[in-house]
Amino acid sequence: MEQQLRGLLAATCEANRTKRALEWRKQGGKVMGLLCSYVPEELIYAAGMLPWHVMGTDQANTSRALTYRMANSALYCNRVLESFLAGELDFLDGVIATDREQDLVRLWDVLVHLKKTPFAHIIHVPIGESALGYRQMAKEIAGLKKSVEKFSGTKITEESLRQAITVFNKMRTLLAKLYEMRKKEVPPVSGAEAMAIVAAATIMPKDEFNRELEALLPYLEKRKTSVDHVRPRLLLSSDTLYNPSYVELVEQSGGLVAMDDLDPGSRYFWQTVDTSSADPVYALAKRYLSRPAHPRMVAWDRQVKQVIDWVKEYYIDGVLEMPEMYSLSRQFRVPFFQAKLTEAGIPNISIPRFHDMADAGQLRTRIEAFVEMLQARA
Amino acid sequence: MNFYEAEIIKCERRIKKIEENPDPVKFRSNKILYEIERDLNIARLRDWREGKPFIEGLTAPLIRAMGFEPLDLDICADRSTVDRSRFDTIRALGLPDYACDRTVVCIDMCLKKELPPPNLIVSHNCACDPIKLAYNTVGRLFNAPVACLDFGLEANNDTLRYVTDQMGEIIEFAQKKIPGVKYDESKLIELQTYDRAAYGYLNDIYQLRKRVPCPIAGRDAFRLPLPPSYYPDQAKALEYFRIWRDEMQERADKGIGAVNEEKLRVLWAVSGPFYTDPFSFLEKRGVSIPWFQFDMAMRWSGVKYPLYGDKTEYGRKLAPLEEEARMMNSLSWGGLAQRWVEDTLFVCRDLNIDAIINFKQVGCTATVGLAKILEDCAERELGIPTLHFEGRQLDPSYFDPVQVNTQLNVFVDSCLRRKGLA
Repeated sequence: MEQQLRGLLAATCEANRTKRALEWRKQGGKVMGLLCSYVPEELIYAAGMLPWHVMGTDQANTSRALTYRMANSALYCNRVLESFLAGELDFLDGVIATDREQDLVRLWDVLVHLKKTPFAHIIHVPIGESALGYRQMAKEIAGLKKSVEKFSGTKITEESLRQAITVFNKMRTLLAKLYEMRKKEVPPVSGAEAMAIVAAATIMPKDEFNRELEALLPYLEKRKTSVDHVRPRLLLSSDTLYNPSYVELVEQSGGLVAMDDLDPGSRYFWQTVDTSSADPVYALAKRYLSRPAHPRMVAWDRQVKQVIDWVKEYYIDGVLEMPEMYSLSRQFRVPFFQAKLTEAGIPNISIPRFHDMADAGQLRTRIEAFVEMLQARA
Repeated sequence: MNFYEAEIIKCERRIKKIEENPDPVKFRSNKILYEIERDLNIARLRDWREGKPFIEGLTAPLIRAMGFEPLDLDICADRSTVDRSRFDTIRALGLPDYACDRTVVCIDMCLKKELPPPNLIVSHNCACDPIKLAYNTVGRLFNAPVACLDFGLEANNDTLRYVTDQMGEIIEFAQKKIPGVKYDESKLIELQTYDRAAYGYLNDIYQLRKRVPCPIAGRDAFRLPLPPSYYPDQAKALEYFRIWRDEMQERADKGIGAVNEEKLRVLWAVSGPFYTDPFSFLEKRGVSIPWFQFDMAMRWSGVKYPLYGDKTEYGRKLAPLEEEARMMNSLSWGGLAQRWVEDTLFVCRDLNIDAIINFKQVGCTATVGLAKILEDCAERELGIPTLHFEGRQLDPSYFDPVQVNTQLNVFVDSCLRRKGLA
């Protein structure tokens, strides 16, 4: 079983990332690249295509991308464009983005300008959660549905959409079970391993992922993480953090990442879609808008409250926020986030990071200092 | 000294200078502009002292129709002076000092009490992320209620209704939360009437920009006069627009231009270095700058985008609140690349532009990522070149005048060669 787990953990390393997508294509399937976790993947699945989250290169050099973008713009977008321009993503049949951040819209604009994929679609995700917002999001999803149907040549029926929702809900439930185990004093997986498992879910065919994780869960119940310390327990908060080396670095610095607020993490699977709703499209809209949010959403108070709830549920000793450099949404939220956590008596620190580990030395020093501070409090 | 006090002194100084020593090259109407600006700041100072509610994030007519005073955070930042210590405050808070400077400087201005604390913030995404985030930040720092106004990627009947419905909810929210706030639709209609007339004058001025030589100087093309609804005396503000239009007409009729022998017509896009004057340098080389392209520029001048009262854009007459939604629903910086590129090329065609200078405003999420696309499309569709240069609008530390002048010189040479004028 450990070998099976290792296989799952390795699914998203840069060398393996495209493996399953290329196999899918070999079998005649289409692969749809997703640039944001707000894209309702259920539609892609229901149309018989593979939803595949684009992570972008882990390499430091993004010189090709800088023809179109500035070095001090969202690094995720720079590294994704670099991968496109280097031809690493030529196998994609299409790309779907959202306006999660304007930088992401501009990335999509460049991809369309360069005609990088046969299919391209972008959806607007409302910045507020309200009845009006849900309705608008449902319209966006309906527009995406039409567009995907036309491209795939497959009608997405209510039945096929409900079936897709069931599969995705199963994935969410399985991941929730894994995360439930992270509450243990000695959790079964490290933070880096948990992130790698969720990241695998974002690129693997969902049925295959569900089968693998379901088979692994009884083993994980008994497993104990190999991280040699279980305190202090940290909650790691960031966006588009696909490079597990950062989480490993945190855990090598003396902390255990026992919970996260990441999009290839809790935010990806938290909250299932309501299957009792008469309108599955509206149910999708509601789930995607009301799940734990990216800092681009205006209701920052709700985002902090969610983190505070997780701190209590997961027995967290401190919150480590690692905004990706030039990611404006999160960096603007920093003062509010820190003030509210401090008000709640939760030790916290915000340390900006790059994506390629070039900043590892600096980060290690700062994280170690934070960990020592938490140890001194204990 | 707070921002309003400083602005009053600045306006008084300029009025005195014009009265004592008028510059024949500059517009006579500038005096009225400084008077209405002074009066606006006097009124705001009084309102602040009297505890009148201030709001950020909606259009001026709607703000006033609700009984608020507009804060205009980013516009105040545009008019402020920047020293590096502003960025120290930003950094100390943990905020990104590399974000678009006009959006972070206003946060520092609020914290230093140069501006009044907001009573309500509307965080919106009609133009760019930094504005949305800066407004949200200011609201949170001052514990003001924060509402959100969401815009789609396209402007159509559906998004217009969506925005209007949200505006309706914000009005209800404000009336519940802020004492003294009461929406008055007749006031809204009155203010829209003033603004529509001013936009009509701006459209006349736009048409005059087509003349050769262009009757407007680069630094005046950069001027951002606010619509009358911003001012306490709307009639006087409207009068300013009329006189400005008449002066432009007079110059155009007499063949007076900022450049004697106009060799090139350049569109300046996005923003510019407010701490220096690249225009005089360009004018010496025979380059006129008929147009400054930014988010509201075309809507306010009725260029491509119709004015209040129009029935063609959405296929019907709009209700007063829908008119406000219309004003924010299709800003050139919002939406997809197509909007910014098509809008900019539209003006280039219309004003017979020879080249584009695209100011890559550091941290501008709306336009920086579109610079190369704009360049490619301008070359492909109009055969005109684009010069990009990077800088910040308020912070001069990125700016090297020697470098920039060299770039401008080389660019002008290249454009003149293209036109066979070298």
